[in-house]
Amino acid sequence: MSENNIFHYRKPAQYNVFPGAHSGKVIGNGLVFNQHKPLIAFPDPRHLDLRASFLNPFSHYQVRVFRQLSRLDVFLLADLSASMSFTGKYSKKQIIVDCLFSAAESAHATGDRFGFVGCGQTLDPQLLISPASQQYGRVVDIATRIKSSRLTGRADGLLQAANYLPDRSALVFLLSDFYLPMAMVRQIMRRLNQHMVVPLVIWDKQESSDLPAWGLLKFSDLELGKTRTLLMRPSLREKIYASYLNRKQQLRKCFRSFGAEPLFIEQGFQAELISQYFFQYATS
Amino acid sequence: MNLAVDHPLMLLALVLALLPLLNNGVSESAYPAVQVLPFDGLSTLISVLIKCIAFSAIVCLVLGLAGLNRGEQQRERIGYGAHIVLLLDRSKSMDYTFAGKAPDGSEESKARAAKRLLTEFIKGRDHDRIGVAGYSTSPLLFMPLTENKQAVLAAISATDLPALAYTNISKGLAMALSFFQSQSSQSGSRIILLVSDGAAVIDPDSEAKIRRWVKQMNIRLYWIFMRSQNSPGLYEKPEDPRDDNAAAMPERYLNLFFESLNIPYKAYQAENPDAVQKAINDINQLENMPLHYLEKIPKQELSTLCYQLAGFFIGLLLALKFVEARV
Repeated sequence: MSENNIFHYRKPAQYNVFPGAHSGKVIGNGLVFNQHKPLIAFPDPRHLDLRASFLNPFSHYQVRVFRQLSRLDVFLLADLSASMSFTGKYSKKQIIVDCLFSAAESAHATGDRFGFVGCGQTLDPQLLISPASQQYGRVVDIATRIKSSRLTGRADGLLQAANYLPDRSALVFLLSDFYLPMAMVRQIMRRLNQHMVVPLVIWDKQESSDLPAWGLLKFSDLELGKTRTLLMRPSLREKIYASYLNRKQQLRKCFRSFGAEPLFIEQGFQAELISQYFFQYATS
Repeated sequence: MNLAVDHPLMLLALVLALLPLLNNGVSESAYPAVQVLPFDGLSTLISVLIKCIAFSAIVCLVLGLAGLNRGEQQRERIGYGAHIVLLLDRSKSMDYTFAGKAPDGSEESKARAAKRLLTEFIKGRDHDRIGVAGYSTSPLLFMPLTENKQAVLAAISATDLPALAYTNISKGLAMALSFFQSQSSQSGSRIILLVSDGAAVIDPDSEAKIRRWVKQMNIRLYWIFMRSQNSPGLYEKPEDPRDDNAAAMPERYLNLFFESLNIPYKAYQAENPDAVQKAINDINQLENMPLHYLEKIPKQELSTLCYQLAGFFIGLLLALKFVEARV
């Protein structure tokens, strides 16, 4: 694993008492000043603020209180439905595996706990990593399991994934191609409402813009078993591309309505993309 | 248009034609989400078209294998004319001239003269159905009753070959009569035109049969007797009453036999080609009655057409295969 496999992320950890790398609301040892408190309430004379004490009209000793940096739970929810076995320019399965390694390493590097939920037609307990387990071996094990397995079924498991997440707000990467009905996407997002969700939309140029300009094509759907015959010509290619753009717009609109900004990954997984994403959008 | 097939069991394979309806045969490539693809009318049309072409190709192939044909057909026709059977004597003596000599160039043989005059006769009769038979030691079938003039002319010209030995007239007559036996309905007159230069004794068995058949079939009989010089005529009575028997004077007795059949009968005694011509003209005028018959149209092979069509369709499919795009 190369160095740049690690990405940086930010999210306020709400009330996590365990120390970590993220700003939180828990009072403790830290560098971010929170408020002044009477010495009697917070008896730590090292943090005595003489200036504030002097200015206090009741002549109470005032102590500076800091916010503690807290630990965060990072989750990766991966769609393991049949459509994710598509291999265009990049293998989507490989992208799942890459993302799994990258997220796990990034979380460990940041000192956060990492969890994984693989969502196929149903949730397979074999494809779960609880954040309590901090062993890297488990990640490697699941990665090989995903690589060797044949993905089948639809992504119904995504609806149940929320049951495996903690009550505390966590950072959730939602990895899927999102070729789901919009209503289902909305339902998934509703269930993940208390977490900060980063939808990672895995698309491939070969699905939309890199289609041949001329010729006869027949596509068989990986999930539905339907087929479509297309007589490719430049105008139809334009139409397909426009249809994908439209889909992108719809997804963006849908995610934004839940306060999440999707990240479209169309050129294979790169950790920098996620780092850039956080620099652009995420607020701490 | 009644279509028929040679091997009906083959038609079971028509079920195979349903296969392209399930799959149009374009090579598939996996795709994550066809529901995102926009609807395209032209593509749908092409897909349906491919299925139709493949369906037609298989149907054509199966029909070709089953041997599709337009079955034998009959067309009803009405004309003025008759059913004529030409019964030609092919005995050796027909190869001589009327003078009883081998032809030396100045005079034609009796067979040749008969052929020439009959050819003209046939050409003049447009609506007749004509059959040709010959007889010598055995009867010879040249051509069954047909309206095909060319076939009849060819049959007549084939009688020009060197003749055979004897004269077995009873068997020849039996064969001429058998031409009419297969006819179900009587329409037009039925004529046997016997052209011979001699006669023979008819044995009693055949005599009975001929009497019966001739009555049953309503036959008219014309006999052109090509008399050689110095041979006994049809009407000559022998001077010596002891010679007055069938063996000695077969011509006279055959004539008498024909007369006794109680059918329309006429004998022409011709001593030269002109007399033969006259006799034929006579018959030509006499026999012109409405004739009702069914013309047979032979069965028409359509499997070749099927194969051609199938080849065309398969060619189209091949062309479509070549324009497939690879992803």
